Amino acid sequence: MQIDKRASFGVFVSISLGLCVAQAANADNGLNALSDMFSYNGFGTVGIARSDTDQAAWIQNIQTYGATNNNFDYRTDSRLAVQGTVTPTQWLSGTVQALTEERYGPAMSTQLEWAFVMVKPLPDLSVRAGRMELPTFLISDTRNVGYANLWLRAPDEVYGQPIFDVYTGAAATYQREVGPYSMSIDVLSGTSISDTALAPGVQRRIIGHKMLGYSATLDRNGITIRVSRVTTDRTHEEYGITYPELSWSFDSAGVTYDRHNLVLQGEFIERRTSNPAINVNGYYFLGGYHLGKWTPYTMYSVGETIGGADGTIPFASMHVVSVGVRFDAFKNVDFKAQIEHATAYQGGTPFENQTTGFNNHGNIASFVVDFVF
Amino acid sequence: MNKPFLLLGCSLLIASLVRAGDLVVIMAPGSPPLSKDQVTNVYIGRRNDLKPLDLPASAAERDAFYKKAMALDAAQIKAVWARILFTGRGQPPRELPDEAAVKRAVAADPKAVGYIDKANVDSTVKVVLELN
Repeated sequence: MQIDKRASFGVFVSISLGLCVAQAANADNGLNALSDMFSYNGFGTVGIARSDTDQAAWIQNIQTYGATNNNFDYRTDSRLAVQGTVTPTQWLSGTVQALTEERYGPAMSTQLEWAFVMVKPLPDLSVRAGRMELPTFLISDTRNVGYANLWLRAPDEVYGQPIFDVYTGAAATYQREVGPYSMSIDVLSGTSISDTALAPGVQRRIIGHKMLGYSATLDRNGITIRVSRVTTDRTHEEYGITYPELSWSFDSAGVTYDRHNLVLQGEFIERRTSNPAINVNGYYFLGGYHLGKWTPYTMYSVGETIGGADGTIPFASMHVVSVGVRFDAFKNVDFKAQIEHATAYQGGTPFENQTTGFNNHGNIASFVVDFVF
Repeated sequence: MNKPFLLLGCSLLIASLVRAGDLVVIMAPGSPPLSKDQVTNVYIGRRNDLKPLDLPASAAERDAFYKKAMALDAAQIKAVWARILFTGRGQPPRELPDEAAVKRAVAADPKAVGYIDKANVDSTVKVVLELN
């Protein structure tokens, strides 16, 4: 069902404000057994983005509409999620999360993002089953939570590659201390469906069967190192035709450092398929420094097809340099401003709907407010 | 320097000395000691066998604890918990109103971990780590 986009945004803002007020009103209530068992939280972002070109739309992930110099696009970054958790016992919990954001259609839409049950048979082991986030890369599972990240938005050159955000299946996490380190091993198995637009109004459904994922994470003193691999047999449906399955894999190696006043983050990813023309490498480096409530940062991110030495495979790439600042304004609220210079070579995204004469460059200015409750 | 300013200066100095008072991590009597790394893992959701307890966000001891134990400020620790909470992997430490409540909760539950000013330690709890 499509909802008028202005109405949808109005509802989105009203719900955000309403929940913030409700949260403030409840803040002083004492804890009791019932509120210990049920909890709700949420996160959201309200933002605008504008580019300096009208010869192409600047688009993120699977979105259909993007920023140009004709509009302040609020759909690129705005989203709202509400999450409810029930914890009847220490070893059993259930979580649902609904997320409103722009996906492939012209209006923001709401869908049940996650619904899963978690069991902890041992203190070190948790098993989840249901519909969950797909942790393809280092921060895939929290990239929508603006407040949890320093950058204004996750670099699309890396985080736009997987297509799949959520999956239905089961996952196990084994987490324990090894000397001074904290170690976590994750495995998952399931199926994923992602709806995108082939063109405005024409749906393309991408399906990942036999999805398997493995990751290992090591932490100490604010340093996190993570390596992971997700594999799947991917097919897609468009105009009523189902295409043959191809093997896809996503590999990632990432590091974060967040200690004292310094924030550093870097990641290298590979997307490999049985069609060499769409194999992609991506990476980014992020650096920031806390100066009280202000954290200026800069990021360089690249995504590019591998290309062929003999020139038979077309080469496409995108490079983005960003400079921004995060301001931790109030409890649970931050403001961020970012300017980025994006370059797309040979038709690489993020520029879509290019007109003749587009020079493959664009500058994008963005401003957001992130909140959690 | 006139008297009111001198007094104000002295009170600020004393206040800062009091605020910088030694913090200790406590558990129920009989508990084994914890290392700084272990306390960090408990408080950032990387260890699930113990139950961390927090003081309110307005308490100076809370900021001092996260700074001393894991070199994180209030915004950084909130971001850490936002990551854990919004992946459905856990809930932030339970918040209690004051140090007396933390002491009572720790004394009553062998899995509970809290932090208080060293001056407030008594026989109902055991110091498992000193943060200087």
